[in-house]
Order: sequence, then C-alpha cells, then structure tokens
Amino acid sequence: MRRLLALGVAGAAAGVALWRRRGGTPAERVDLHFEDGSMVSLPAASEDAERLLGLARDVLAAARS
Amino acid sequence: MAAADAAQALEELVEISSQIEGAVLLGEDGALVASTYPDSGRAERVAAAASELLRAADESQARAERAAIGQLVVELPDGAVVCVREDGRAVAAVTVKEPTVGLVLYDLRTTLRLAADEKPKRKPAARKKAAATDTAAESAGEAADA
Repeated sequence: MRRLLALGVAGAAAGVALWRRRGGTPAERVDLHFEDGSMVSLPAASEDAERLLGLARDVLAAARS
Repeated sequence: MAAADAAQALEELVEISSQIEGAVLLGEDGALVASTYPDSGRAERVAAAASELLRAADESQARAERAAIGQLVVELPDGAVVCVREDGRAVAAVTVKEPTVGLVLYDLRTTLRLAADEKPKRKPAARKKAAATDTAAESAGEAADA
C-alpha cells in the first residue's frame, strides 16, 4: 500500500513537472539586445535577471493600477 | 519633437497593435515625453518605472562590457515590458502575455522614428491594410475556385 502511495506521489510530481515544461506556467525571460546586433538572454536565476524582472513587474503594476 | 506628435505616434501604435496595452515615450533624461495613458499620474509612474528598468539594464550591460542596449524584452507570466531605444530616446510598452516579440519590437522602432518625424521605411498601418488586402484576395480566389 505504501509503495503504491509513493508511486502515486512520484507520478503526480512527474506530471506537474511535465505540465510546467510544456508551458503550463509561462516562463520569465530577460533578453538584452545590443546596438552591435548581439543579444543575451540572462540566466533566470542570475542577480541581474532577478533585478530586471522585479523592475518589469513594477512597470506592469504601474500600467495596470 | 513636439509632444503632440509623439502622443499621436503612440496612439497609432496602440491602435495598430492589439498586443500592446499601453506605452510611454521617454526623453534622453528618462523623463516622460508622451504616453497612451489618459491619467497623467499613471503615465508618470509607468515612465519612472520604465526609466528605472532601462537604467538597471544599462548597469548590467556596463558590467558585461557590451555595446549599448538598443532593445530590452522582459517577459513575465502575465505580460511583458518591451523597450526600444534610439538616439537616447526610448519607447517602453506593456504588452499582453506571450506577445509576438519581433512584431512588437518592429512597431516600437517605427513609432520611435515617427515620433522623431523621420520617415519610416514602411508605416505600421500598412501591415493591417496589407493583411486585409491579402485576406480579400484570398476570399476572391476561393470564390472563383468554387
């Protein structure tokens, strides 16, 4: 019984992970396009990305308030 | 650049792009020049927040020792903030979620040039008209086939 329960929990976790991966939760992304034509996507967990995501949330909040 | 011209360019922008909810035009000092928001308080708040966002992006760019930032796209689950900067001036737009980023960037760049009284290569409104013409041509073709 316990084994079945553990299998069920593991299956649900895998399902949630797959759903997220397939776009269930839209991703957060920061892209910087430079004047020389190059572009960089900041890694989601980086300090710079966190800061810019926070400031962009402020812009959205101000626009929709 | 007259503020009225800039405001008109922004109005046209939100008219032609269903993905853009609103936009502000910032001067070289980051101050508000024009916006699509009728409430001036809200326009000022959006401009201040967008200006801060661009400043933070500039700091990030300076640390990475890259060329100046011309465009910035920040996508969030419930919308995106897209900025285009040229000759010190910038236009920042708030979009619906999961926008067609390339199209929004094109429209913002065109708006920035219109606001500066430059003649763009192609007016944004032409896209809609061209699409309508294409649709009409397709319909006519289908009717002829039938």
